[in-house]
Amino acid sequence: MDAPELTRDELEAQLSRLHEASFGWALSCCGWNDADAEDVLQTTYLKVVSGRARFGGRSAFRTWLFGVIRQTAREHGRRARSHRERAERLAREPVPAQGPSPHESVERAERARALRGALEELPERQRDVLHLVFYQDLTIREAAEVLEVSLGTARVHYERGKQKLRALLAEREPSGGAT
Amino acid sequence: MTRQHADDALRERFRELRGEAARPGRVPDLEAMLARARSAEAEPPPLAVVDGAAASAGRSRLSYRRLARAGAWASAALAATVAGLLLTDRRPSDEAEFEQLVAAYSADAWRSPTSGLLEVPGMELTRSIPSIGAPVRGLDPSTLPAREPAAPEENL
Repeated sequence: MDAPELTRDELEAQLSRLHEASFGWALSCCGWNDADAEDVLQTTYLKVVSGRARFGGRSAFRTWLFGVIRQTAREHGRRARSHRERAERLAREPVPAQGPSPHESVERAERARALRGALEELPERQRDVLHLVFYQDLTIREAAEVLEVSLGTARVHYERGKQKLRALLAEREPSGGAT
Repeated sequence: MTRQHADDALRERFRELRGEAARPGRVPDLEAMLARARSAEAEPPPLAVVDGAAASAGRSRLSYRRLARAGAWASAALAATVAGLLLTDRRPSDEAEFEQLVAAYSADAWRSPTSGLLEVPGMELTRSIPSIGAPVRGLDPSTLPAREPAAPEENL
């Protein structure tokens, strides 16, 4: 049985609560391109507000919303650059200076850039599962729902993805990464 | 390093990434995005495209691609149909063929291959009805030998 439909205010309250996380997921789905991620998120919100994407209550709202974002990113990303190109772009990207302690900020930004570059080299499913579990704190079961795969498949992607990500980070940061 | 520690290290790396993605000024303004979504929903589709809303423009491009694809398929199907008709329908139509058969077998036009053997001299006499006083067609009366009047006694 479907849950009662959310009102416009309830929908917008849910979107507001998840906005930052949704942008992070959209970034991951768009190869960490801010403009693409914003376009995808805007289109997703339009779908939700207009009722073209309707929450049926069969899963958690966050799981459903992430699924819509992923689908929208796929539609949006047909003309997008390949992941390899994205990884190369991320490697060339200048590190933004920020915060009160420039050295620490730059180091953190460097580590974040290395992680993004390594993630972009993973197969899509592995990258998505790792993002949903480690970045968004979803369970593997919830990640499987977002990606519309079985729990077993998600587990395999999770384990293989972790293994490969550690290897990639070790290559990029021989002095010590997440190994 | 244990499996749990390794996972915690990864989790820490992702936490840094989350902090970097959520830094001030990077996350787009929610209210502005919702306002654009509301206005795009309220506007009719053509205006939404002119307005430059990314979502509507994307949808418009998608619709255009679908239309173009459908048009291409329709053109291909039409071309295939025409080509098929040209290749298979080279014979005259059934009506034309029937008319030719009727013309060929009509009484006026049809002649037996041996009908010429029946044409003999004097055949025309059999095709007309003779009448008294009228020359028989094909015979000139002046060329006939004059007949002598019969003797009276012979008439008795």
